[in-house]
Amino acid sequence: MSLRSFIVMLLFVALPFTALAGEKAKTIDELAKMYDVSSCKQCHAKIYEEWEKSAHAVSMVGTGRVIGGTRGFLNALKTFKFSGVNDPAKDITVEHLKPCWDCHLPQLKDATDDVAKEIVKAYLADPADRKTLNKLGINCLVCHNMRAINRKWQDGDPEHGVVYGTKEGAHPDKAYTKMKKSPIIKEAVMCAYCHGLGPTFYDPAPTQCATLYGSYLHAYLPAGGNQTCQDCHMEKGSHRWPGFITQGETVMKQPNRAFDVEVIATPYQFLERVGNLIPKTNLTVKITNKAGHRIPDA
Amino acid sequence: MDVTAKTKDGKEVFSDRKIYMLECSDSRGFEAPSDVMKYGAQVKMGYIVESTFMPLQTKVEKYEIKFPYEDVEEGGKKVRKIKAKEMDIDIVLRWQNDPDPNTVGKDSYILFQTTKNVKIR
Repeated sequence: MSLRSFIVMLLFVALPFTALAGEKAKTIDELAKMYDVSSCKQCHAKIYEEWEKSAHAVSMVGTGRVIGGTRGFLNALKTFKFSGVNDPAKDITVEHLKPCWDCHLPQLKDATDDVAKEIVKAYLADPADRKTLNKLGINCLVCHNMRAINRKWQDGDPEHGVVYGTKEGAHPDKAYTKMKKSPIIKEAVMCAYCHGLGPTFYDPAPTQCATLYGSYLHAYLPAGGNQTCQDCHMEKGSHRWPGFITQGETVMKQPNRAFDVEVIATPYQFLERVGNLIPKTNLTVKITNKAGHRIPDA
Repeated sequence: MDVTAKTKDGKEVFSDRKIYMLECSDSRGFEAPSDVMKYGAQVKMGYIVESTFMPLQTKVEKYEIKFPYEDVEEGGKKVRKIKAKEMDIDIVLRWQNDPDPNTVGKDSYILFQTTKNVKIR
């Protein structure tokens, strides 16, 4: 093999990896910029505005409970003998946060441990630094790129510069220039990675956060249900994902829709035995959950 | 879900609260009792009790609520006096973000609420 052929072969092998690898973000601001989605707004204004008001957009804070939960996790790491964490502010690495970031901020895979420490600082501040935490969240690129493929040996890793959805073709954006079909984007399984099955046994510090998809698989479908998550939570293409826990005014809409409640009250005098009439009401409350998962669930 | 019955003069004669949720343990029975419910994603691993509303299923709750009465002696006979023949029964089903009911609409969202007026003759 000539030197030229060898170099060409080496470039062929090496290029895809160097193109995908890129530099890791060293600050929260760098990570936010790396995954900036503000350009999406130009063409998808309505969807963008819906997303901004969704719980996904504030996945590091949620209703505030994510702050409490993450603080609990960080403090627990100190007590785990083999975690290597004595002082969360100093010792936390990206790897330590994986049980949380895998769903709350998958972008963190492209960040250095400095970013992990910055995130910890924001969580442990008193009060928590919500402004900093809300620079990051589940945005367009998480669902339309990072999590759009779940069988990577079959379909390959999500490609840089590609927006995954329901269409193929050119995409008028400077950074994301192509559209490709995601095999799962309209399926319930699209939501399953994070709205999951139960304990994450594959983590060294397993967490039991989300159990919702397990309920969908093992209770809703066997009961005869045939709707997807998107049918109810993305009705008419909405990117607000209404549910119990979301931002703002639509919080009540979805749960009210999920329940049918019937109340039957029967006042009468019960003849326990001769001469002993007990005045009472038999009250029956029938509550039917019409949703595709248990309630409450996550 | 809170069920409360009051007579027309506002006196509470019945109250019951049921909580529906995944009640989790850490499944680490060898070092601590695993029958103790736990909070915290990093701690939970498995359920002790599953009392949630299951999809496409109907949960039926039944209550027996007595009208207030007392037995008195009249002319050497025991007579049952019904102290109130009318009650309002409030049924409130709500989503509770935290264990304590705080501000409705902030931490506590009412999903269903009704009042049943019941009377006996």
